[in-house]
Amino acid sequence: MMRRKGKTKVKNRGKLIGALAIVVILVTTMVPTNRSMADNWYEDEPGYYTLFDEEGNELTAMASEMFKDDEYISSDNKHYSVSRVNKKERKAYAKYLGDIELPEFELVEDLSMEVAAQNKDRSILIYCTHSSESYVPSDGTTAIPSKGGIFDVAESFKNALQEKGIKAVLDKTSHDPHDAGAYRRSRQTAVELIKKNMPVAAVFDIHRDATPKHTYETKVNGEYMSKVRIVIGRRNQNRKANEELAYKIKAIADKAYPGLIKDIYIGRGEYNQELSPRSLLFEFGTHEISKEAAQKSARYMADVVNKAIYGGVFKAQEQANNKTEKRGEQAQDQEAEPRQQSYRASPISQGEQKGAGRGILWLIIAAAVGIVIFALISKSGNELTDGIFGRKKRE
Amino acid sequence: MSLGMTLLVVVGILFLFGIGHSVLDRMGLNDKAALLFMVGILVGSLVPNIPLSRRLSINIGGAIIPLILAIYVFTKAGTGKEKARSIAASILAGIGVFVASRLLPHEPETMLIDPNYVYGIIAGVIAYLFGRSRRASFIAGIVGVLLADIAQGVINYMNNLPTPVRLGGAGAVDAVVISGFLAVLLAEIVGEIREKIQGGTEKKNMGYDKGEFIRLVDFDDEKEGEDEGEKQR
Repeated sequence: MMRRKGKTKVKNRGKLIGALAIVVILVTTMVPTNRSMADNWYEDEPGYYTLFDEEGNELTAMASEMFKDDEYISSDNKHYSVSRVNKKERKAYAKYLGDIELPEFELVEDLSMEVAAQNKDRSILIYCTHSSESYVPSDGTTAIPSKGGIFDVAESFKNALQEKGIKAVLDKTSHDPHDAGAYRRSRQTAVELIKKNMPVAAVFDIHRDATPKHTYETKVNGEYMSKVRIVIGRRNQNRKANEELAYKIKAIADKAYPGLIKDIYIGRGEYNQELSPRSLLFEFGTHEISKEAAQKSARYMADVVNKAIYGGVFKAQEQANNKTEKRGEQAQDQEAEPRQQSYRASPISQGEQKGAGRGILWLIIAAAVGIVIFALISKSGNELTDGIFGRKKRE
Repeated sequence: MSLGMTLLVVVGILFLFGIGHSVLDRMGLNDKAALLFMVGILVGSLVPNIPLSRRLSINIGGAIIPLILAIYVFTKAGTGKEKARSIAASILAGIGVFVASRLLPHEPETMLIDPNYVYGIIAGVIAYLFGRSRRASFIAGIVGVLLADIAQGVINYMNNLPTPVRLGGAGAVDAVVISGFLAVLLAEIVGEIREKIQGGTEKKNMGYDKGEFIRLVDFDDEKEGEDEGEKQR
C-alpha cells in the first residue's frame, strides 16, 4: 500500500504551508466584516435592471443583474423567461410563456360555514438569513448588524400567526455578515428549527428587497403597505411542493387582498428550500419603504398563509385590477365577479400529493441522470454499479 | 405530514445516503466502514450540538465524524507528498470558501448557483489541482469549510458580532458534508474523464492518482479479511 515514499521536499513544503497559513490568518482578519462586496452597488447608484416584455412594455424592476433564462411570474400571473439582456442599458427582455394556473376555490354561500377547526399543531418556522437588513425610513440605515429591522417584520408575522392559534416559531439567530456565507449559517438555523419543531407545516425565510420604493408600494383595503415578493429556488426536489404553496398563497391574496403579492421570482439558488417541503422566501418591501408598512403587510400575509395551509373561508375583495380574473373559472358563475364573494380554501394537506409525487420523480430522475453520466465516463459497467450501490464481491 | 410529503423526505434522505455511501466507497472504504460512517453522520446530525464556548459549538454528524473521516483518509494517504498536498489544498480551499462567501452574490435574485454548492466546487477544483486525488479532495472539502467558518468566527469575535459559530451545525446537510462529498464527486468525474482520455481500457487496473497513472490497491483491504474479492482498484 505505501508503495511510494515521500521525498525530502516534503519538509520544505510543510514550512511553506505553515507560512501560507499565517498569511491567510493575517489577511482574513483584515477583511472588513460588516460589508460585503457583491450586491451593495445598488445603494450607491440607481443601478437596477428593468424588465420589458417583447412588445417593450415595462414589467418590473430588479435590484440585481438579470440573466438569460431567469423566470418571473407577474402580479397578473403571466409567466416570463428572460430572452435577452442589454447589460449596458440595464434592460432585460422577457418572452411570455403563458399564464400560470392558480388554484381555484370553492364558492361559499353562507359565510358562517367556516371549515371545521383545522389541526394547527404543525408548526410554521421563521428565520432571517440576512439578519442585518433594515428599513431606512424607520431604522435610519440599510443595515443594523445582527439586529436588523427585518426581525421586527418577522416578529409581526409570527405574532399574527400565533393569534390565529398557529404554533409559529421565530429564530432570531444572527447570520451576519450579510454575504453569501449567510446561507451556510442560516441553513444550520433552519435545520435546528425543523429538528426542534416537528411536524412542520412550512418554513419561511424573511427578507427585504433593495429596489426603489415605488416598486413595492401598495394599498390593500385602503391601507398603505408594502408588497410581498415570493422567491422559489429552481432546482430541488421540493420545488413543486414549494411552488404549489406559493401559487395557493398568491391565489388567496389576489382574491382577499389584491395588490399584496408583488410577484413570484424563480431564482437560481436553493435558499435552503431543499431542506423541507413548503419552504419559501418572502421579500417584505424594500430598504426605502417604512418598516411599519412592511409589518402591516406581514399581518395580512399571516392571514393568507393561515388560510393557504390550514384552510378556511375568506372574502374576496372587489378586484381593483380585473386583469387577474382572465382565467377561465368554469366552476363559478361567469357573470361579472360579484363583490364580497366568499371562498373556501381547503387545508394544504388535501391537495399536495402532486408536489410530493413530482419531488420524488425529480429525485429518481436526478439519480438516473447521475448514473448515466457516470456510465458514460466510467471505464466499465461493473465500476458503475459499484459506484452507485457499493462494491460487491466479484471474481 | 401527509404520506406524500413523508415519502418525499424519506426518498430525499435515501438519495443523499446513496450519494454519500458511493463517495466513501470510491475513496476506498469498504462497504461496512462506509455504511458505518454514513449512519454516524445521519444519527450524529440528530444529536444536539456540543457547546465548546458561548458562541462556538460543534455537531457530531456535521463536523466531528466528517473530521474523523478526513483524518482517517489523511493517514491512509499514499505518499508524504499526497499528505502535504492535502494540507495545502485544505488551507487554499479554506481561503477559497471564505473569499467566495464574501464575493458571491447573496441577494436571492442575484444568485447564479446556490452558495452551499460553490464551496464543494471550490474545494474540489483546488484539491484536484493540488492533490489530484479523491482523498485530497475530500479532506480539502471538509477542512476547507471548517477553516472558513473558524476564520469567520474569529473575525466576528473581533468585531463583536454575536453570530454563533456552529461547526457542521446542519449535520448531514451542512455545507461541510456537502462540500466534502461534492469535492470527491468532482474529482471523480474529472479523474474518470482524464483517465478515459489518457488511458482507456488498456489501463483498467490502474488509476489516475497523485498526478500520474499508478496501480491502485485498496488501502484498507488488509484490515478486512472478508473483502478478499476487492484486491485491485
